[in-house]
Amino acid sequence: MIAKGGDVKRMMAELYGRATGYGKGKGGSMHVADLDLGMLGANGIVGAGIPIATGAALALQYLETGNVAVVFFGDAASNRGTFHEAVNLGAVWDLPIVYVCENNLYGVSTCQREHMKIRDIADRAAAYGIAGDVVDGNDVEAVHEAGLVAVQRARSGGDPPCSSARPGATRATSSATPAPTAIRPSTRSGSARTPSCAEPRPSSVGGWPASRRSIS
Amino acid sequence: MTTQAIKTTTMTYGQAVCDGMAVEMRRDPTIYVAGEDVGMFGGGLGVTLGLIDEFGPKRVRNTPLSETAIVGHAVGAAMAGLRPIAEIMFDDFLGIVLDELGNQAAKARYMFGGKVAIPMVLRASCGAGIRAAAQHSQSLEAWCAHVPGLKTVAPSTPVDAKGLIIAAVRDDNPVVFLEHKTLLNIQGEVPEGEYIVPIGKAEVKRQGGDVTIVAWSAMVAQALAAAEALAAEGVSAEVIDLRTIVPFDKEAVLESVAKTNRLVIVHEAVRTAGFGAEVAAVVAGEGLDLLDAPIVRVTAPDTPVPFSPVLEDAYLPNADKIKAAVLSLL
Repeated sequence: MIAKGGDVKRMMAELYGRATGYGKGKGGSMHVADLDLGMLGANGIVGAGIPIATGAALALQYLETGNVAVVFFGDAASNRGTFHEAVNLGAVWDLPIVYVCENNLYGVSTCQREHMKIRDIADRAAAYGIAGDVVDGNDVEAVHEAGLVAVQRARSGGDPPCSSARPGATRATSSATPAPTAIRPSTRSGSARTPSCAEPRPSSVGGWPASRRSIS
Repeated sequence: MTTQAIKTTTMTYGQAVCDGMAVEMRRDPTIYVAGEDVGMFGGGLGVTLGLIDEFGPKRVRNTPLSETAIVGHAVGAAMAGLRPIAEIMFDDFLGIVLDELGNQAAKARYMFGGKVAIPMVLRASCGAGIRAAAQHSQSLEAWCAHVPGLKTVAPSTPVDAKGLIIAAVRDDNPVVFLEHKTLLNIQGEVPEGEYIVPIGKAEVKRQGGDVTIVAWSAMVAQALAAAEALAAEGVSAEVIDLRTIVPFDKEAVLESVAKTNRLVIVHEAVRTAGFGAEVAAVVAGEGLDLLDAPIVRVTAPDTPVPFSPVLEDAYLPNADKIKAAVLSLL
């Protein structure tokens, strides 16, 4: 939102519940939006923005704006029905949208291999007949390039011939970002805890443990 | 005094909903319909039949069997400049879309400081009486009424179905439009062209002086039948059709109770926390002095809707039960 030109002062005012905030203090930190920038709001319900963005993409297509919708979510959100239903709808309607998953390998304390069997969220794109790409979230230039390609493809309304899936303007991207080496939720005694699934984070893209990689 | 003749056409309740949508779609190209089988098939219960012939697949959009996406995408489309009319076949599926309806559509305008409108309509069939069993027969208007930010309408006649769907489409807030299955094929005279019934206005369907019967949706016909039977016994019942659940037209009810001093509330939904409880609370709170007798509710019992025809018939409120309730007050 800041990158799109959002007013940081109004954002901070909203975080503090002030009348001068983006939502006049009625939304709070989870519900900052700037409709004038085309930013339709963060969401308090994980995964709920994915169908909303899909509908916005329909409006962009329907009104022949030539614009593209982009929605961001995490790896855990991609387990929700909202993700699967929305991506399927976006695919069958050939909507101009890019679904961007920022995979940090954890849903709060639950590591990715505990919450899904696949390594790359982008693999899920194949189930809906759309392109799915993986990019290293630590490589800002690669992310930028992948974003340009994805938006261009969504805007042009079709997949390049290299895609084996049915043509569709929708594109899924999965970006990997560093996982925490340990999650340390506070406990009543004040002691720290490490989730049982926590393993040393490998340096490779995607950060998936070698043992898991051999299975997949 | 001169009155302008209004041209009417005989049509069913379902056709009246469709006619109202078509009237609006001709006026505003940003209005579209989306739902399962709404195209050539005409939707789950045939209400959208013929729409695709006039408006084409861009504006009458078949969706996957995917209620979360149907309602969720409608919220986003409404935020981004369209006016969606989303259809889910049965209001029993509200459970599937409750987040999209209750957390997204209903709250966006408030949370974003009034900067966005959500001009969407969610149509769904409601009600029992066709042996559709527990998961396809509920009347869940109270679920919708419990979420600030939603309007809920439940018309009882073809003419109101048309007037209210047009009002719903023109509203800049999310409106839940409940079409009772047993009413879809009833016929009535419906005005041609633009005809609006304002949201939030009840209608006195029958004048009376001894008791007020408040009902909505399919129960209006039962209340009117009860009033007819009571008249034969010398009891004059006034029947009010709420038409809109939220916003609730409390003035209409209080005005009637001021005249009759007795109130019977009838709804097909189960009793506990049904919208009748809200009607009763408002009248008790703001009109206690008007009452000469306890407020009585005639409702379905607190059970799932049974499948057996014998049990379903016993489950539903009807004219006989309403009449008995009225007589208990006199």
